[in-house]
Formats: sequence, C-alpha cells, structure tokens
Amino acid sequence: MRNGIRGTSVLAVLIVCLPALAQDVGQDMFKVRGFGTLAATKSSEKNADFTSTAVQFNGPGFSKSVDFGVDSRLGAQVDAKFNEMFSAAVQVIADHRYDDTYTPYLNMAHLKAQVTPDLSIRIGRMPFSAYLISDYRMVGYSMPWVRPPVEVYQFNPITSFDGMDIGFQQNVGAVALLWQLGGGSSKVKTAGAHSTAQFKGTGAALSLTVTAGSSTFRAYYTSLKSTYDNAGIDQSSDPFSPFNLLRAQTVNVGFGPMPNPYYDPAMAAKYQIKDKTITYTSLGYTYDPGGWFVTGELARNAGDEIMLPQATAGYITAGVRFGSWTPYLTVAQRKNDTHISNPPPAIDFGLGGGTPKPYDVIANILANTNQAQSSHALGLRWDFYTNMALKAQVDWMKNDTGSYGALINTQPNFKDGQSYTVSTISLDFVF
Amino acid sequence: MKTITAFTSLTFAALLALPAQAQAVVIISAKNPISKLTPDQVSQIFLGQAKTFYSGGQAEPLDLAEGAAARNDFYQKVTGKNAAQLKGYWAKLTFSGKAQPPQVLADSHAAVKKVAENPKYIAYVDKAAVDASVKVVLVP
Repeated sequence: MRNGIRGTSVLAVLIVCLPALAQDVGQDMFKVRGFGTLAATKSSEKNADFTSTAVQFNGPGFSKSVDFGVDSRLGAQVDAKFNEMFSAAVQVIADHRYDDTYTPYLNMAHLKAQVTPDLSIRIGRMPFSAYLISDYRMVGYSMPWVRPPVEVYQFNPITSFDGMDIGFQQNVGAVALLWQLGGGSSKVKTAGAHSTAQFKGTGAALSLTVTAGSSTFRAYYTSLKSTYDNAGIDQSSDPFSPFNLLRAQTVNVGFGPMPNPYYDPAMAAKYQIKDKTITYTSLGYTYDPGGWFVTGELARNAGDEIMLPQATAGYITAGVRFGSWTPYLTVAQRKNDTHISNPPPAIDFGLGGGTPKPYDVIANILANTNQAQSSHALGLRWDFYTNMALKAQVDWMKNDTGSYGALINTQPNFKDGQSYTVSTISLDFVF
Repeated sequence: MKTITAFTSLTFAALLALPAQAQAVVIISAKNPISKLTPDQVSQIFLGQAKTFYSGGQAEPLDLAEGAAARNDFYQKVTGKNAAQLKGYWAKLTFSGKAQPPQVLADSHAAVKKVAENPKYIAYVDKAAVDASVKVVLVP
C-alpha cells in the first residue's frame, strides 16, 4: 500500500519532468520520446479488486476506493539511427506491478537491420504482439479507450519477448501486407494468489497485417512451450508447496522423515506447466475512414490441459469523431474454454496444522482460471491539446457464474456471477 | 471611395489567394523517372506502409513541421487523418519499435532542395515553392 503511494508520487514527478527531455539529443542520431497515462479508477465491487492485467498487485474496490494503478503508466524510449541500415530502440516502462511497486522495467531493447527497403530483421527484446493492439497497448494516447478491453487483453500478461523477428513488407496494388515472423522466449511475473507466479516460454509467432485504404486486418498465431517448472508457482524452496509435496516420497515433519500421504507424482505431472504448449490466435479488424471508426477482435488461447486459462473472447468498438470529441461504445465478451477432464480430488489426510493441502491449492488455481465475463462500455475522448487526450469511460461488467472475471483479492463476502461498474478518468500524452 | 473599394477588393483577393498558397502538392526529384502517383500510393509511402515506389525504387518521405498549413492539408486529403490522428498513428508505430516518422524539414523550400538531391525522396510542399529541380506527381 505504502509502496503504491510512493510509486504513484514518483510517477507523477516523472510525468511532470520527462517531457523536458523530449527533444533531439544530437541532431539525427538519437531521438528521445515518451508516453504516459495518469488515470483514476473506481469500482463498485467492494469485495474484490479490479485489475486491467494479471501483473497488478491490487486495485480499486476492496483495497482502494480510487486507484491510480490500473491504467497509469509512464514510458520513455530512445531511438538511435546509426546509418541507413542499422538502428536501435530502448524502451523503459513504469507501471503498477506484481510486487506493488512501480519499478521501471525494460520493455524493448533491440537492434534493427533494414536489409532491403522491404525486409528488416530485429534482434533483442521486442513487444509480444498477440493481439491487434498488443504492440502499443501501453500507449493510451494511441487507442480510443482508457484501456484495451480486459476480456481479450487480460488473457496474456506477457508484454515482451527476447529473440528475433523478421518483417517483410509487400505491396500489391493499393493493398499493403506486412508479414512478421518471430521466435524467442518470454517470461513474466504475475501477482499470484499465494505468492508471485512466473511463466516462461519459448515459441514462434506469425502475424500478417493487411492495410487497404481505411481498412486494417490482422491475423496472428503463436505457439509457446512452457519452460517453467510448476514448483515455482508458489514458494519453490518450500518442501510443503503443493507441487513439491506431490513429488516427495517422504516428508520431514519434525520427528524425522515419514511417508508422505500426498505423494502423487502422476498428479504433479498432469498439472505440470513445463513442456506443455499454449497457443494464442487472434483476428482483428479496424475500419477508420477518419470521421468515425469501428474496430473488433476475436481471440482464443488454447493448448494442452494445464493450469493456464483457456478461453475465447472478442469485442467490438465503434466511435464517431466530432472535431476533438470522440464518443465510443464497446461490447465485449469472454468465454471460458478450460476443460479439466479429471479434476483433482479433494482429499485431506491431515498432516498437522497449517500444512497446505496440495489438491486444494491446485483446485483453487484451476477455479481461478475461469475469467468468463461480458461487459459494455461507454466512453468519451477529448483531444483538448496537442499530444494530449482526456478520456472518461464507464464499464458495466458482468461476471459469469463461477467466474472472477477481471477481479482479484476476492473477499469472503464476494459473490460470483455479479455485475459491477468501473469508472475511469484518464489523461494520456505523448512527447 | 474608389480607393477604399480598390483596397477592399485587393484584401479580398489576398484572402482568396491564401488557401491556394497553402495548397500542398506532392513532389519527387526531377531525376526520378516516375511522372504520376495515385493518392493511395502516396498515402502508403507517408504512413510507412510502402518502402518503395511502385516502380521498385526506394521511397523515403519527408515531412514539414507540425502546424504547417501544407502538412495538415496534405494529410487530411491524402490519408484522411487530422493532426491528432496522425500523432496517434505514429505513436503506435514508434512505441512498438516498428517504424519512425519521416524526417522533418523546416519549410517547403528546404523540402524542395532536399528532394532535388536524391530520387528516393518524396515530399509535399506549398505549390509556390516548386521549381524545375523537382516535379509534381500528385495534386491532392
């Protein structure tokens, strides 16, 4: 909590100071740019916290009345152009993280080689672009909403990957095609129910963006193989953590080693994340002739039967531009596809007070993967000043039965399947 | 009275002439063999969606400073985007590390000079700044 306040103040100071740095540093070689959002969010669900990504520690509702951590963010970027062929980009972002701090992290750091005018290769850390606007989902100014619809964008907490990607630009008449093929590894720390959770994976991704006149279409597919051992989902060093317990033939409970009643390596293997595959598929479309726009997306994540959520989600947003005012409407839905064929039994052998019961912990994690919900939102964007936009948005959210939706820190009085309202005011800027 | 009328007519003529002066035309080097481009082709080059001319040669767009009348006129007519929309568009590309906005030149005369240097350049300038070193390939 204290960290949150300190973080917000640091963010506020940076927001005031950084634009002063936004100028050419040495004529054309380096360019410093930045973006940011200062947003206040309120939720009517007081028995849980609303979050916009899985990496946030807490949010408005139970923990806070009005929270600045849901959508506030500050990013700074340095672009370097060494010559006609080589350039580099480094991007650092500060926002509300899994450990309740605003510690800046490196979201981008890559070298780019423009091999031919149509072919480029990047090596280093690049944005993980599973969805239509993933590439720039941190940049509030470049999107119509206060945040991308949580139904789709909460799927996946990964924001960057380390590796290589190849971009190929093709022009066929009035149609522009951009192919991107990437490969590498990613890792992310999320605010877990019991402690910090982490996910690591390696994989490859292919995307195709087609632009023709006012239409933009994007298709994306990636397959990630987890390289992370479940033992680390909770305290990896703790012999009584669920997965460690399931794998240990004996346990030491003070009198010396004794047979472990929870010993069940098959169960541990079944819900093991390591070496399992998850896939992300998305199809997005935007039509923006200038005076109005419509944008929509359909996304699905699937893969092996593991403890990571599987779901199908989509949204559609339409807006009209009246000078500097842009009112917009969004309808969104997320369906849970997790199908656990053989849920773990709830057995309790009783191993002394306070000992975690692995099956319960696993069952609890599985229950948490249901984030099915639907929502509609009404918002207004006002481009009141060069490089700045003010937005106000109200989201009417409805969780499905048995679902936590976009909520975390659910309290004993929390009821699933309820509706609640999220109200947000934000100031977006780029410099 | 006559003087006043003449003065008023002149003022009106000057006012009417103003929009024409701000009118943007798209130019390439006189050395570039291309003689005509369509609004779609020009839009793709300026939005970073095409890196070459349709004939195959490398294409590099040049911008005028933000707020320049020719700049707003050009982008509104050719890409359908106003200044704020264009800003948002480039924010998407720069902050995802995909592309950088075009190099910015001080004014139309500087742009004409730069374009004349190399057939890869393409710019929009005030019609009045055009000289024989460049050729107009599109009047939006």
